[in-house]
Amino acid sequence: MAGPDPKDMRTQQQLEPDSLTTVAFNRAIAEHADGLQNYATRLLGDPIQAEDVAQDAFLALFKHLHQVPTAAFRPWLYRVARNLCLDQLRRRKFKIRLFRDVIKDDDKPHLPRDPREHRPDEIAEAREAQESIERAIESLPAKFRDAFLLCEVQGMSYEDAASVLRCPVKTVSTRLFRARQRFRSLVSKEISAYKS
Amino acid sequence: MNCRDCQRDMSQCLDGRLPSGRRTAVMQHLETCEECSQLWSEFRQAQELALRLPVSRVSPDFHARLWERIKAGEGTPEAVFNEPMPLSTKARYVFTGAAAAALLLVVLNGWVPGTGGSTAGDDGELFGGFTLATSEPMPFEPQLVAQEAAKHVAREFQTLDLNSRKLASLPQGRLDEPTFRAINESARGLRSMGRVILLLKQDQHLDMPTDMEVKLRLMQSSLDVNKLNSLRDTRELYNMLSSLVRQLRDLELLPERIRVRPFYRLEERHEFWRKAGDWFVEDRDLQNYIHIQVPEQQSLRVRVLSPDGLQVFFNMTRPQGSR
Repeated sequence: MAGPDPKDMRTQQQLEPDSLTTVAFNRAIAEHADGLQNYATRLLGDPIQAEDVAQDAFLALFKHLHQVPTAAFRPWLYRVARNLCLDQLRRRKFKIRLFRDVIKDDDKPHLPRDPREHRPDEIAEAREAQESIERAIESLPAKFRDAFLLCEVQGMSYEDAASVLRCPVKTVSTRLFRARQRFRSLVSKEISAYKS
Repeated sequence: MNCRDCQRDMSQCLDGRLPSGRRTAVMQHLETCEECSQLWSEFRQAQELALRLPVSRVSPDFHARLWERIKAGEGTPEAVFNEPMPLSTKARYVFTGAAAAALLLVVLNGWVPGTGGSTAGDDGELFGGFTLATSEPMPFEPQLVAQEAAKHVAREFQTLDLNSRKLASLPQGRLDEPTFRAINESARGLRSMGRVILLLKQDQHLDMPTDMEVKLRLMQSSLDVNKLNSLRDTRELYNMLSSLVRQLRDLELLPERIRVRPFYRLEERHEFWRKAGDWFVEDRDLQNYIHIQVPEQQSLRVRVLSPDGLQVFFNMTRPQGSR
């Protein structure tokens, strides 16, 4: 005699999380959606595709809520987003484009307002500095860039980054150190401007 | 401390990850070494530049669109779990044959249900054939075990709370059997699942705040079966349970307060499976509440609990001659 299909059991669990879990999920969206989209944008160079990746990552999380502890939502989401981005890049089969190549001028992210920056030449200078920093990140070797984006830019702990990248914590620490060394030398001009 | 050691430690120092002794050594070196001091300053400024990069926001309807997709029952994109696997890991899976990831391959490549040693649960029946085996059983991973155990503690705690409040409305005197059984059932589940979490913590597979660990241990000792059996009076039991529930209220948040440590080496996972397999055999509650499978060298044991309480258990053995 056939019994209930365990696939139905799983689907039922996935569609009806308890209220505590739903609250935790909504909180995760509020806390991590922007960061996730930013991270994916740096990998893909396209904020629209990046937002789709962020949506897909949350969708996947919802399907696996019963498997992922709340405390692990963030690294889990980033790991999934990274997989999705790498898959897209493989499909594209071309080198990662610079952020500014994909975005039109009027779509460029808004630069932080500085009360001193009211002259057009200063605004242009700030934009150029930002693009230079983005290029520096872009030019880091892939493994170093991974650690840099997660720890330096996204503020993730070494442990969470290790979970995302599926490597030991020590490896994250070493790669981050190397990334910082390279990044520092690539943005030396911006550092001098920052000092002044 | 020399310059090489100082520069090597700078990155971790920036992130506050150095033990205090080493941090002090770095700071002291920076006071006396201009080159390292300059480097430290540049590291900090470079970090500031990275942190000042603008952060864009998702579109205002992101949340609404996501929930629409969830309600529409959209599937998980396939690429979500396509992870680049190092060659050494692939080689390990091939040669050891015991990795959880190999399970699906094994199932799809013609394993057959065992004929000997399969038993049914109390209310269950034996499932024959592949249907059940290919229905995504979850591997016996510490993350799953910990999360399921924690969720069960949180739920069962709420049940205990509810039952203890009902005691207040009962007449004083000896507690009736059905109510006592219900309370005992909750207590048993709590002890059992609490024990799993504490075992995981003890074996360093899991982190949790100290106060949460203290509360779990208090729960274990207070809900001891002999202690409960000695409190058959409604008033005494109510006083004990209501006080306990007040002290342990935070256990409702247990699923959010635990964190399972990642396992990087297959040997660590094997060690976990070896120990945890014993828990699974000994502990009926673990069998009841966690839908798991325990990978072993030549056979798989699968235990399933369906929503209506049907429990099935069967062995899958490797066909002769297969790898």
